Amino acid sequence: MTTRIPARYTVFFVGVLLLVVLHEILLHVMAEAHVAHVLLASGRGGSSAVAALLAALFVVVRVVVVVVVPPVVLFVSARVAFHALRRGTGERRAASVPGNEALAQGEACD
Amino acid sequence: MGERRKIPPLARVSSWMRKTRGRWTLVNTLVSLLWLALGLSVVPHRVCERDADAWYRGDPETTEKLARSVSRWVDEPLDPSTFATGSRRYDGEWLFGTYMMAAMGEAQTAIERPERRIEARRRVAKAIDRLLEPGARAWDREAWGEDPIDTLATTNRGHVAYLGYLGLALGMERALGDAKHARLHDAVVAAIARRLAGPELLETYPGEIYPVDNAAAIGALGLHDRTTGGDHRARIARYARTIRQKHLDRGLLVQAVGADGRPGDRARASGTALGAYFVSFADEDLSRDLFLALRRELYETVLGFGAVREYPRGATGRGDIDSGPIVLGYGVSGTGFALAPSRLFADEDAFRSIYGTVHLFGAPRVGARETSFTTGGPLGDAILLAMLTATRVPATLESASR
Repeated sequence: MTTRIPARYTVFFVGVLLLVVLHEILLHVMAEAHVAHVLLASGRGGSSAVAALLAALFVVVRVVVVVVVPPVVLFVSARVAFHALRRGTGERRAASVPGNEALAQGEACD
Repeated sequence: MGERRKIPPLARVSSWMRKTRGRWTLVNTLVSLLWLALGLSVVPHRVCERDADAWYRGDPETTEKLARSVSRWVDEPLDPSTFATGSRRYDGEWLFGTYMMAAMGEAQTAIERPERRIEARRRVAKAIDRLLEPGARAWDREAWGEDPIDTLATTNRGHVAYLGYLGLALGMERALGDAKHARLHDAVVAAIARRLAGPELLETYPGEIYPVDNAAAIGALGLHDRTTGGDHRARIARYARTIRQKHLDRGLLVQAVGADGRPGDRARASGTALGAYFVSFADEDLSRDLFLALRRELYETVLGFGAVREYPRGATGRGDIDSGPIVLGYGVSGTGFALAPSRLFADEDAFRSIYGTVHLFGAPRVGARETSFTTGGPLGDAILLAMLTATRVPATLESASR
């Protein structure tokens, strides 16, 4: 039995992976570029616009990766699990219950 | 009677699903949303709090890694331009603050773990030497038109921020039994005490009075008493009386006072939390009362993350150099400074949840030998070392020079 995951969920998980990679890259750049004080200085304008943008982008990406992504991954994982269970039960039924193929096919197509 | 057909269990489930498709979709949605809610309220803050216990207990490996980073910042040739605040004065303040907080943090780790004392003495002495370099004094000298150290015995003008913060660092060195800067320590404390004989509060800059900077000076007096047997109880009591009678609002410390003695700014978290830490070295009752007011009026949790409002509920204000950025009413500095009194007064819940927030926005990079907070830089690392290791200086830790 094979259960295909809908494309939207695959796209979501790839997006999460890319966000995590972006977070790690920004973390490295922030550490190496010594732009940390841009945030603490409360935007007083002593730093370059690029540094300020980088710092702001890092904070937004970090909050998304740490706070938003884990619960959304759990949410989507639950959806995928339900999807797999539903398809799995439908296909097994089609293979094991004689005389009920039409019904099984109908369920598998949901 | 015909033979009853055996139906496999999975087929029964499938059949039930088909019959109850609407309910199945509802269950699917509800369970998924439950996961979402549980994930949002439980996972992120618990992940970010995972090192909080180690900090609260003073785990030697955890503290030493950050101490190494801070020591590296002290050893590096930093200069005011490192900080790029957009203000020459604030750049200088931050350079000075980096070395001062480095000394405090290093000393505190050694007070809790005496086996670290030899290495800590070396690092604290180095940080104090940095505090005394002309570049680290320039911000005060330029504001007053006179050097704070050269005029210790000859003027009664304020300089209270430079002298108060320096006095605390010198007192911590003395508490470790190191007398390298003992004469300077005595001279700085004598200057503070003499200047406090007149006005109730001293100026940080000409015409500018900040109760939190005076709290540092009072803390320096208290620490000097503990480490040398001196007696500045009258000065300390007078400060506590003045603050309690004139400069508290809902128990929170007013940020600035005008030349006429009236409030020059509102009561705020950044001053209250840092003031609670500084004054703990001199008057534990006042320190505790400041912290309890902060806990009651300003501390909140959002999704399990602890944060401190910069202004009391119902009031709004802009972020400045004291508060750092204010996001949704919560101040970066006030939140970070609140770690110290929450550890001092054994409020583990607040410490843990605030540490979670510090981890989220500070983004620590933990290596094999060093830990550094990515968004903190030299100042952030030094402040967090001091706040995360805040401890009492016990009466038994008397100076070797006594």
